[in-house]
Amino acid sequence: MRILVIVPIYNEWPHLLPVLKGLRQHFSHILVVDDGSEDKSFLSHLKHEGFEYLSFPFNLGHWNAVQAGFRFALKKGYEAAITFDGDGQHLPEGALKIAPYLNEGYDLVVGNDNGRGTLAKKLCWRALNWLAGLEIQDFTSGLRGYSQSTMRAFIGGPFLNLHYQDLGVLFMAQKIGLKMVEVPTPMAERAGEKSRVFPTLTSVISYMCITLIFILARRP
Amino acid sequence: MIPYKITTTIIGAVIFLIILTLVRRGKLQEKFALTWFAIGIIVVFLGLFPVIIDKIARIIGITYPPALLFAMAVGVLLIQNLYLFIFSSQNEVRIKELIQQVAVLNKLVDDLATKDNPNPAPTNRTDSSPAQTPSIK
Repeated sequence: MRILVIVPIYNEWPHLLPVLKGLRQHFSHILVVDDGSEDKSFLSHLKHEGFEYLSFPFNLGHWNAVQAGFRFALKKGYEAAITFDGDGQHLPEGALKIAPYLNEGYDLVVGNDNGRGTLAKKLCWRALNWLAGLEIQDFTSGLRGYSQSTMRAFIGGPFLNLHYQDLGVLFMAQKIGLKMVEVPTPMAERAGEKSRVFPTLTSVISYMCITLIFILARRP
Repeated sequence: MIPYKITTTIIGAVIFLIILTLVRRGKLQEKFALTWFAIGIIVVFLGLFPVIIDKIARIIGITYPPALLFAMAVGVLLIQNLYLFIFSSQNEVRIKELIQQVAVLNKLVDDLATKDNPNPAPTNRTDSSPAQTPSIK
């Protein structure tokens, strides 16, 4: 099975190269998606190191970078894709655990990490999870495997409207009846100082509100 | 003291003229211009014959006619605003899809270019604009 590893990044250059080199030992097809990083000079480094990349002229958000990766994977005829964060949080071993489930024919494989986040955060996530009625516990995880048909479904229509990659995507996936599974995966401490999706408290609150409205608007 | 009818006529005419100029200069797209034109015509009409408001108010049982005017104005502005938000959301989705596709196509074009020309001249590619992609000779 040809699997493309999609690494969406945004201003994570210092941590990126070791992550990519670690990945390359296990996966031969890697695609970096630059989500409009301010400093573009690292792209020439990537080229020099022989990594393939896409680049956005401005920042669109994590999920959009992933979608662009899907488009590329579909164009090139990959049978599955694994998304992998470029900040050093995910370990290649985690991605290796995902791959066999894709081979088994699962549509969407989520790499679960239970030991992450503060208690307050966990409670909030649990509440949102319960409201949305998700089967998947760790919906914030960016380490996921997608089958080809899933990628095809995920690049169009309502999936373009999503702001975040996590709960919304899984919610819609559950709605269209995809075969999902959650796999426990080892994860490292984040090499970058701050969470990329939630740098401030305001961003957490705005995320909670947007997600809440999303759930309320779509729950049957 | 000038009669209030003249004041309202002038206000209505000015608003209509502003809309007309914007449409003529192409600042307002035709599809938006249509509703704004309608609004302009209504404003002029009400300016010329402010009694209309009083009459309508009496018919539908509103004792204070200016309240009807304000309610109508708020309603129209609300709908226009909502329409703008919908339009803007649609545009955002379209832009996102286009950028994703451009990024993928950029990559594919680059790959083709390097395949045709294995030793390309060092182009200072910044990926910020499609115009800077190396040309295929």
